[in-house]
Amino acid sequence: MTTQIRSFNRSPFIDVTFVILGILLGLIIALMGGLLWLNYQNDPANNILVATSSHVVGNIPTWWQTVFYKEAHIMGLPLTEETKAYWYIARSSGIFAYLLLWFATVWGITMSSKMTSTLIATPVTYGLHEFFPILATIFATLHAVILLGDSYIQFNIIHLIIPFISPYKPLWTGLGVIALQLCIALIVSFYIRKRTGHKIWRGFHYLSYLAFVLVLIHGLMAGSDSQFILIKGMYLLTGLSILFLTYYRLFTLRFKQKRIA
Amino acid sequence: MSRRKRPKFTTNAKITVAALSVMGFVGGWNLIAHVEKPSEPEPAPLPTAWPTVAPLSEIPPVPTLMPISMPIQEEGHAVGVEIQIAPIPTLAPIPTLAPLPDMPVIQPQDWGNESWGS
Repeated sequence: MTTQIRSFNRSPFIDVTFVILGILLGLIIALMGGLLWLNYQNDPANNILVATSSHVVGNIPTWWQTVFYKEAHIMGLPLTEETKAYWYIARSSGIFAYLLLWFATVWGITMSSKMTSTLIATPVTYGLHEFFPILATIFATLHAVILLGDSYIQFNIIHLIIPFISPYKPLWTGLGVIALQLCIALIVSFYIRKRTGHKIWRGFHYLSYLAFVLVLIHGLMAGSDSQFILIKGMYLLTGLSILFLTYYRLFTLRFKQKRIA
Repeated sequence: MSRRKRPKFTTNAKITVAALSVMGFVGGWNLIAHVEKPSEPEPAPLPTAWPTVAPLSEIPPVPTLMPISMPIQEEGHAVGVEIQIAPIPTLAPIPTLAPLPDMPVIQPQDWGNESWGS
């Protein structure tokens, strides 16, 4: 029995239309977010966000409201000038982005080593490998952008674009900037791999190892949480796991090549 | 014979993973805030009062008189007491000054002849 695979060629016009629509949608969302932010900054006590959150909180039980307000206060909310919330968000999103990137890298190596092929269906494996780097990059972008609001570090948008010029640990922060740009480039390369060709894409995709190493160094050297033994242990374990899996991948590849020969 | 449907990483799965990620991030934010909380400078301890006063619970009870309820002895009438007050000695008259003589009325000589402002 043969399976007929139906294929169709999408015209470039449709691609361009979708890209333009996506950009427009992104601009509208960014504009709305910006307007909400300006509205909040103009009057932190009385604005759309406060009114909406008060309405939502008003509908939950009193006991939950007490817990909610207490936790929000500890977490540095509301976002005033002297709040530590920006710093907390930057640290949390940074560590979380690192863990997501680690998982994406681990997933990629296990996927290419065919370790998961018997356990998980291939489309799910590919889907996870495609989705986790995007999530990691979103959190990494949040990690960088949120620092613009921190009054202590005094970052500006130029420091986030050009590496090695930031006022806080320029070398190690610069490695993080390069890693973020590399991650964005790797995600984009995935969607244009048909145009670039599989060989070029594959060669470029190996840079994901470099991105992971840069993020690891950035986290260890620039992260203020690296002083904690738990975080140090996390970096050590994740780094060693990638090293081990890479070695395993190279070993299996060599074994396979020998067998073919 | 129907073909087995192959599982896919669907949009719902993506939304679930994204929601879990956001929850993890907020949880991390909360955890960091809680870890930072004790490291904030604590208020200086209050100086110990010297000499210290023992807590009330540790002080043994002081023996006190027990009130007894008993009927009050009522008197029918007040007992009259005669008070002997010594007589007040007569005071001598206070010396006074003689009354002042009448003052003569003196009229100014040029009264009415002065021209003010000239």
